[in-house]
Amino acid sequence: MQSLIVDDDEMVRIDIEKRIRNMPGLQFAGSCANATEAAGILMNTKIDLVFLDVQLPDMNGLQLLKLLDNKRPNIILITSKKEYAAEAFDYEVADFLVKPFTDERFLKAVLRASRIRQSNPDTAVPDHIFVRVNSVLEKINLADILFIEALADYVQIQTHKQRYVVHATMKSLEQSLESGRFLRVHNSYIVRLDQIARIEDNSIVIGDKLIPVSRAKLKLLLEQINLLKNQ
Amino acid sequence: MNNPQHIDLGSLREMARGDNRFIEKMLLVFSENTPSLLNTLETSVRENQQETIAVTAHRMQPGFHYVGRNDIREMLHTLEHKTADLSADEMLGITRKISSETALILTDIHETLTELRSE
Repeated sequence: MQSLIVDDDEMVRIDIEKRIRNMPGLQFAGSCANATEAAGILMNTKIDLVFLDVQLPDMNGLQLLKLLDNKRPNIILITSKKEYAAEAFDYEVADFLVKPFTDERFLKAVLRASRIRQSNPDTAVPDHIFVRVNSVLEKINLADILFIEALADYVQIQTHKQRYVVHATMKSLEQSLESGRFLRVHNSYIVRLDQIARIEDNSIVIGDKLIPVSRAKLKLLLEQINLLKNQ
Repeated sequence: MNNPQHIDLGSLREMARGDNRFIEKMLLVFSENTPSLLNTLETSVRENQQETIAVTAHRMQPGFHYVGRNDIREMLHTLEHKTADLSADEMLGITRKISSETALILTDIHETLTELRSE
């Protein structure tokens, strides 16, 4: 999801940008400090998700929502005032984050926005991908994928039934796969979270494959696993 | 190794996930923006401009959270929400405390930035 940050505090914008860049399925599309700039970006750029501060210098964030039409992107409101929660409910936002918020809370909000997007036929992410294998276009259901491994200029997509070697980049595949179901745990691996059999130290096991997890991704992996368990 | 006394980088380190440039960027923004906001706060407290006190106190809070000083954040929260309940002397006292602590925080940040840049 192409994600925009609207907050007048520069440190908050840097914070959220970092979280977006670390979150599979999210792409950082830009940030701005006021509603006027945000409105301009939203008119000219396809944005799927907005992290919107309520207290902006030129306009209340909720007032901005009133100006956006019915095809507006998913909104996650951010504020330090819990009192806005009831009012936000009337605007059908995906979620409401009270500053300061934890990684886990941020992830929950993103997953909510992702589920809303999936349930909307206009914005739902397809449940399959097409890949070119030799000269043939093969359809692969996302539900069949176990993991994806980088192989120099190619990637290997391992499903329950077979292995596909495809001329593609890990980055392009990562962007096609839904955050919350898939996670890039290492430069060379993307895994389907509900296929993880166990986690051993800095590795995970899927089937009989031992997959390394980078230190930077281990915390995010554990948070996502916990969220799957608690939903 | 630098051991800052007046800031706590635990939260920033956790967010950074090994990316020191992130920590550096956040500390730089704090050190650039906070002095002028503090100046505005002090002036508005002296002149009892309640709306400006509330707005400025609100704007200053996130920064102090990120550098691990939620005690200062709480003081700012008090200024933001309780200007009508506090006397002028009370507001002045709180503001002076924030000001003196901020000076120490900025010194720690300067030393931390020097160390980060030398790594």
